[in-house]
Amino acid sequence: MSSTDKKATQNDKKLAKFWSDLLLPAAKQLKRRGAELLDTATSGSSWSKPPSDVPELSELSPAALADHLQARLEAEGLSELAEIVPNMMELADELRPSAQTDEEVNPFVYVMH
Amino acid sequence: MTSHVLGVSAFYHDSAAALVSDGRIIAAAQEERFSRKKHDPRLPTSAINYCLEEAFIEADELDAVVFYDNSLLTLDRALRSIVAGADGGSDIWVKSGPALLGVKPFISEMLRDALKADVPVLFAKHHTSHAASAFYPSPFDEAAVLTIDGVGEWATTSIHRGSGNNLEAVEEIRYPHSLGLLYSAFTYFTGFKVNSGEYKLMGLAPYGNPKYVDLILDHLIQLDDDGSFRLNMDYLGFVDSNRMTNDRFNDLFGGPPRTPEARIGRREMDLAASIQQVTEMAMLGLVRRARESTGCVNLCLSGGVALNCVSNGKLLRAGVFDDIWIQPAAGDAGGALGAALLAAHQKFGCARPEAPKGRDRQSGSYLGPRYATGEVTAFLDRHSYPYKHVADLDALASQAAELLAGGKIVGLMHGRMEFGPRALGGRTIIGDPRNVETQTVMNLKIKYRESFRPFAPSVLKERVSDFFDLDSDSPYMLLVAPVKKERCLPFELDMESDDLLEMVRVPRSDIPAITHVDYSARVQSVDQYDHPFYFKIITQFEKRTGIAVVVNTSFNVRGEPIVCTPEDSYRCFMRTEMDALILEDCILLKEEQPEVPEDDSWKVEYELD
Repeated sequence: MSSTDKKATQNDKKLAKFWSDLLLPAAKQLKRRGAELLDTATSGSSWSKPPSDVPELSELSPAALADHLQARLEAEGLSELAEIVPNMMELADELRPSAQTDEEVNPFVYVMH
Repeated sequence: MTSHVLGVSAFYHDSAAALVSDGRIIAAAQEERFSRKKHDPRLPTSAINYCLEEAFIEADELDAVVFYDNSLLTLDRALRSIVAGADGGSDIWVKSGPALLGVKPFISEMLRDALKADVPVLFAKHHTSHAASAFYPSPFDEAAVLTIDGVGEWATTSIHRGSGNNLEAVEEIRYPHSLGLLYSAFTYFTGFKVNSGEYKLMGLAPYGNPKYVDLILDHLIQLDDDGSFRLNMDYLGFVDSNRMTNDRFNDLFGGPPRTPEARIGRREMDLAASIQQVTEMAMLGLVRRARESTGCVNLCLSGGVALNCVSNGKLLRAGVFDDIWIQPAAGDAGGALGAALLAAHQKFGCARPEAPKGRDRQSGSYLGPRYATGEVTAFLDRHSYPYKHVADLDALASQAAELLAGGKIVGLMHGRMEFGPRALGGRTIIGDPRNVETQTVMNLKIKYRESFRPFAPSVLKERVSDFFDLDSDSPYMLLVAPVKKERCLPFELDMESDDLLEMVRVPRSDIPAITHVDYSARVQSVDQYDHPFYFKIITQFEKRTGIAVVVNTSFNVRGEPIVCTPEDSYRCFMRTEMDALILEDCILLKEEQPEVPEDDSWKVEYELD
């Protein structure tokens, strides 16, 4: 197994652990209380106003990004997700080196998320 | 003082860089052209370097670098989408996590590291970048701007109003309701590659019968009177799985998706026709809404869905707006240009440059590198490749036209490379449209691809109405128009057959190589200002044949990015059955070139698109 493959496997494990420890419990809790994560209604107008709290041009350091994301989730009543943002940013820091390699990201996955 | 702004799009697909100085576009290019990896999503370091070189500046002279997408909104949307689809398991999270978390928060640092300069990094919103790329280079002082794509942040469709150097967001439709993703779902289901095969699906549509339209409208998308739409996620897989469609979708359309590269059957043709028709209905509703909500009489279009030139042609003919301008780099690459223009005009207050009378500010989209005669001859001399230098461009155009009229296929690398997915005469392969065999030969012996897809015509601007029912310019090959009735030949499409090759071989007009089975063509109108040499070639061809049209296809083989350099061009020339190659003002004939050893291994070098 190459060092790149090893790194990818380690990252997969970290992501899977984050999923089972934090993300899945948050998802279950959100589902239990019927929180709306996406507007999936099948009828009615879908026009919305653009979010006014995000300027057309902004600076975004990793710390600012985390703060804004947490505030945004909190404001939308998704405190379960807001709470895990700091952990998510820690994980982001750990994943960062592998993302800086020259590997191509699967475009199919990218179009999804 | 001059302001220099670099725009960057990356980490999704089709990364690119663009440089704008004092509101004027200096350069723009996609990374794939340099890296030779199609749809390259990586940080576009080569494209950035090229843009800086073209502007004669160093990175530390930049006033800002603008990324085309807002990481906050993207992360917010992706996180919620993944959690909403949690019942589908951890697969999506594990697969997308490294790209999402490992990249998005660190883009500022990655850009500064790449530039080796401590420049301000700004983030524009994805759809505002698209909107800016459509409005600022357009010929309009005021316009409605409609942007439609798959997904970036939350917005999948948006309406802006542009006026002077101001761009104002009006309203948007949000993920998961996405016309682009619905089209991509059908791209996937019919066995083509998402994010690159959409234009194949569009090309397949005229062979089909739109028999699934009602099924799509009843189950997959609801179109509202106000132009908005909603998708029914029960049939689509992109929220809760890593597939575009699911088993319910399969049941609806009679079985699993077509395996890529398997034979295309009647079902795929009918699905292509059906989703094309639904897309056109949805786009017409959106365009009407844009007219109502902005009160503008002109329309700008951008976003990947704006590359649907069949739909664009119909929108133009619908007459909702007086005029339409479409950003030629309508996909994510164009976001780099839009991001730079947005900051130049809105942050640095640059006025929009004057548009040349009756034309736009995109300079024909010839915004990439050019190779001077000295660079070309140095390359050819170094390798001892036989060539003739013809300094008189009239004589060279005449020679090219002579070859074309004799049925030869000519590769053309002349002037600056195009920005956007279409080849417009800068990096183009051209042929005789009168020849019945041209389409088959160019497809199978040069492009190495499926032969159902039509080629595009490049036509002298002044002669457009002699050949096509089109009252508007189409310099970027983004409008499909009917071939003039008097040029068409009787032909009945067998709507029960699934033999595409048989259908392709039947001549449909006196310019069969560019006439699709529905008598339509994807028109590029060529004027003498943006690409004088290409204009000369077509003029000379007309003198010899009476036809002011040549067949134009991009200078590449299937799966390969369009060529950039003389070396790329020569390599592609020698690997295919092109007869002649024009490199700037040098001409090479295949018969005079040294033989290359038979080796087909390069065909696997490029992943099929």
